[in-house]
Amino acid sequence: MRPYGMLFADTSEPSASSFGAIRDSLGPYLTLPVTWGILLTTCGLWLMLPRRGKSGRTCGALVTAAGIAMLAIQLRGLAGLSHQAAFWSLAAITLFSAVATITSHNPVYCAIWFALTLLGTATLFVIHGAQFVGVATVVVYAGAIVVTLLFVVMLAQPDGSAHYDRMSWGTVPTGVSALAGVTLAALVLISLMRLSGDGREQRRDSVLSALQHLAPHDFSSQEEDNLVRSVQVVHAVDSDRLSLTIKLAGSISSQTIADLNQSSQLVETLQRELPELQADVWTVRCLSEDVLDHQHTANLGGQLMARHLISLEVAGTLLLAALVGAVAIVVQGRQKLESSGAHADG
Amino acid sequence: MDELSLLQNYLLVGALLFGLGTIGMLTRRNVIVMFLCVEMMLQGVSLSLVAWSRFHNDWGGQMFVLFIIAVAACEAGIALALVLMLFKRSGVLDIAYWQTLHEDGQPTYVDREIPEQLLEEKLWSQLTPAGVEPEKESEDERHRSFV
Repeated sequence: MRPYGMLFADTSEPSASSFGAIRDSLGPYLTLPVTWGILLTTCGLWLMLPRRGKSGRTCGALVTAAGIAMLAIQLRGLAGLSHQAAFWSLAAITLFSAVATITSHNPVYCAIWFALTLLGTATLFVIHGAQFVGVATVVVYAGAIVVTLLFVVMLAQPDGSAHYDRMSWGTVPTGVSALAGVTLAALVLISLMRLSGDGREQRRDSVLSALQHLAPHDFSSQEEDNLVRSVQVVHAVDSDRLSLTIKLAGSISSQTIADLNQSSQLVETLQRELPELQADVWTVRCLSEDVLDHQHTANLGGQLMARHLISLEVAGTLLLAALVGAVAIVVQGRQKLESSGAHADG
Repeated sequence: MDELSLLQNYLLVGALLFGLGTIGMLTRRNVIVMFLCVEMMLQGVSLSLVAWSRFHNDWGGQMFVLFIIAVAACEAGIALALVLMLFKRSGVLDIAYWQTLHEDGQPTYVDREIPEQLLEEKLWSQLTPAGVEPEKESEDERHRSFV
């Protein structure tokens, strides 16, 4: 990680000439794979985007794929080669369809490639455990929004490509926008590479061992790793108060959770197990909340109707307002066109 | 470590989708393709939210994604109504037609050269209307056994 540290600390000695100074400051970055990934992806996308009717699709596709691969290799791989292969093959389908969406000349093809992108993201949602969101994406997004879009394309421009589809704003603006978009993604990559989440695993293990002291027969089953799903720590800055929320898997009985919440030993055991957290007043709460539970959709429905009820009602009202607004735009627009057409004629 | 690497990979794919949507939005001139790229940006954000939701075991991420889907549907309806109105006034789906809506003093973009028209064979063929016998050409009658 040494070259990235140079973003914040200047450790090289200053050079006499300005060219030398530029070379010193840029030198370590030129050999980084991230820089080459950005440049390759930018060149590939610029080749593939529509530019005055001709665009190098094959060459651009290969260059873009090389650039994105160079960016993706920087990340730590998933455990197990089969996991890695499954995830990256689905992600490759999604990204390929996304690139095809923005570079197709025909807008109907763009819409169809976008539908494939949506299917790709839906599968990524499903393998991540968010089954309802995956199915909702397919039904609402790919099934309704893309179809409506295709209706509008068919009404407006049913035949092949027009000239404004086969060219964009010019060569330089296309290249600059490609650089901007790719740099945005690469900056996220750079900040991800500096992440190290070891503290989280240790905290979960400490809390699990504390709970095993208190309720041994509940917390010592085979699937020990996932019984404590997450530990959320909230430090109140001004009053030196600490609030711990321990979320347990669905297999822990509610009686055990109620006993834990009422016992006085829980706070002391946790204070012993987590010495790095210092505060005067500790509030500890256990509850059963698991995003990866086997009753995922039921729990999601419960959360939606209980915690987010007002947002749900507001979203429904927004949908109604949008529906009425869309109809009003078309009806009033048509009336205005007819009246202005009548004025022009008469 | 696996949860963290899963998070990182998902966030990268989400960021790439968002970046690609931005590029498409800035580059393309067709109004509908620009709208598709906005939807792609929303998909990238949804992917990142679902990744964070699993990492922190918090339902809020997936709730936000559901509301994003609902709001995207509203936005699609209104945007397409507006696009239809713009098309009725201008006759093209080109956003460069409406560039005079910009601020005063901005340079206007003018197409320096327009690519040549597509050849006839690339256009879709027309069906003859039903119930009407098409006219027979005399050359066809000579070299085909039946027309």
